[in-house]
Amino acid sequence: MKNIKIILMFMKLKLRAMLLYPTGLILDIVKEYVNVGIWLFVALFIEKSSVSVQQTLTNYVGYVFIGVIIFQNADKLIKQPFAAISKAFWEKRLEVYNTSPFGIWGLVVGEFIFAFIFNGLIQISIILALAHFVKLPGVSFKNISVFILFYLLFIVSIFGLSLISASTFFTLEVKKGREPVSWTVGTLVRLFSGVYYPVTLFPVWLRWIGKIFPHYYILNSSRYLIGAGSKINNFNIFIILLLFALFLLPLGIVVFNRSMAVAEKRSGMSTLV
Amino acid sequence: MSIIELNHISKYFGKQVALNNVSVSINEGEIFGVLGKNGAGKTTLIKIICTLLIPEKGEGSVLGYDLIREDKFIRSNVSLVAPTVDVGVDPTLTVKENLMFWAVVYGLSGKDAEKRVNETLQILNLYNVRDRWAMEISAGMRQKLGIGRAILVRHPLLLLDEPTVKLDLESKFTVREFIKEVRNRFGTTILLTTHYFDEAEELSDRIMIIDKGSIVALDTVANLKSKLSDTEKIVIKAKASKDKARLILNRFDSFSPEYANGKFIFKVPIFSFSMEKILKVFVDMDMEIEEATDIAPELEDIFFKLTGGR
Repeated sequence: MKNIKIILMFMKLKLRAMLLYPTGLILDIVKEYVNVGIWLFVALFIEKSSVSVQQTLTNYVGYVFIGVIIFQNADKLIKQPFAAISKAFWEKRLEVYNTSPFGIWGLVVGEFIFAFIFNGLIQISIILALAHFVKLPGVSFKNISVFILFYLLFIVSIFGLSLISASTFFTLEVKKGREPVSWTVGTLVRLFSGVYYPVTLFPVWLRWIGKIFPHYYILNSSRYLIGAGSKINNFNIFIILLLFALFLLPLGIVVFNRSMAVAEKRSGMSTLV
Repeated sequence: MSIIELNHISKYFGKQVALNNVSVSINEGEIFGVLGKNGAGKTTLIKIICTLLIPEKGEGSVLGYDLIREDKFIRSNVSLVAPTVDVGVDPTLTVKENLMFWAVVYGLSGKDAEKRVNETLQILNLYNVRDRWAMEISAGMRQKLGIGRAILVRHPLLLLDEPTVKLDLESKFTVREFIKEVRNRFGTTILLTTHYFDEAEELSDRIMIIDKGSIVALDTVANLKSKLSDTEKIVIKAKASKDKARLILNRFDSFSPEYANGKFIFKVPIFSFSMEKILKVFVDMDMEIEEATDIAPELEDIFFKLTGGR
């Protein structure tokens, strides 16, 4: 209970900082809309001009829309704990957070949940806006409850990956800039997991790359559950996403705890020795 | 009862020795001062005690908990004030919100948190600025805010790493008075590192001097002075002609005498009872003595004697 209150306090802190500079908040929301809009704009022309796409997919715009929405959220969430730790480090608060037994975990979990809710709200608003104004074809809510279950399992896996990403701050001393885990995952997923185009475009021997990430499964299932994608075996996808969650979450916790122990050896949480 | 017990603690950063075989025992309710030059190992020592750093060698206990294996229990019972005023202070929160945030992070909540925060603001004389942004208040006030964070939860052990560094004289005075009050009011054991000799002398029951990661002295100020200093100063203010002054300087050549602005200064062996002998010579020479003072050795002298340089 005490730890939940600490997590909520970190979420409140994040909200407070965000509301303090509303211009940044507005730009964040606009950026989300623009990012999705750019891809839909491109998809609209590809769909009309590409015979190959027309043969493969019944609705390419809906395909890209679901791909972009899910990928962008996951990409942001993977980076969130690293960004939170980096900011706290450079603002000389990280080590002081560590004087509380749950301090750094409170920061990491709080910022992750906050980002999940904040990004989720923006994306729901985009979905509703497009559904209402553009009458986006290829998006429906026929299996929304199953989709939510799958999506939450996916987010648990993403949290595990985000902890591994954050651990590089201490183990690899990546104190600023782009850290390698989220960059590698983001690049490979974007290319091979079916964000913008189906993986069936690749030769069979290349398709396995996309399949080692949970993104591939949530993208495929979402296109069926809330889009016009081909039918999938719900049970199989559920088991796969559950296995990813059960593997990545404990792995992330262990790796992150180890990395903090490394930091406590090297004085990696503060610039003051 | 011993609150901190360190046995043969060593810490290295690569090839650099930060602490070398440090053993020390600190008692409950004590204000324990640590003096050392920059890079002597003071901050490393404090961070090891509050488990933010893991030592390479040695063992110890803090508040009865094992230093390595029970770090979470130690963290739950120890407060740390870092040497830079902005450490741990969030500029996007007001003074009161900063303390409310930390109250929850340290396990307080609801009315308890509110009550404790208001109390702390009153103790620190920050109540009137409670609704101002932390970035708007003075450095001294921010340092007090940092100390406020550390005493919010009344932990039995308070670690103060150079708490008055970069503060103006008035703020230094306020913080020092506050440190004494914390100990007297709550019985808190306080470990204090500092660069200021007067601060260490004023506040500490015992002082440890460390140099290049090793302990070079550990005792009460009085004992350090009596054990480690071999000279004291005698200052005599007297009217003297140039000839008489020269005669006096020659007469006490072995005491490294100086004469300036009507004052004679002699460095004499400690406990040598030289004052009477010197005054007798002044009287014999018919010199009018206005004032005679015996100045005990300074902590500063002992520090530089032990660590070298000045």
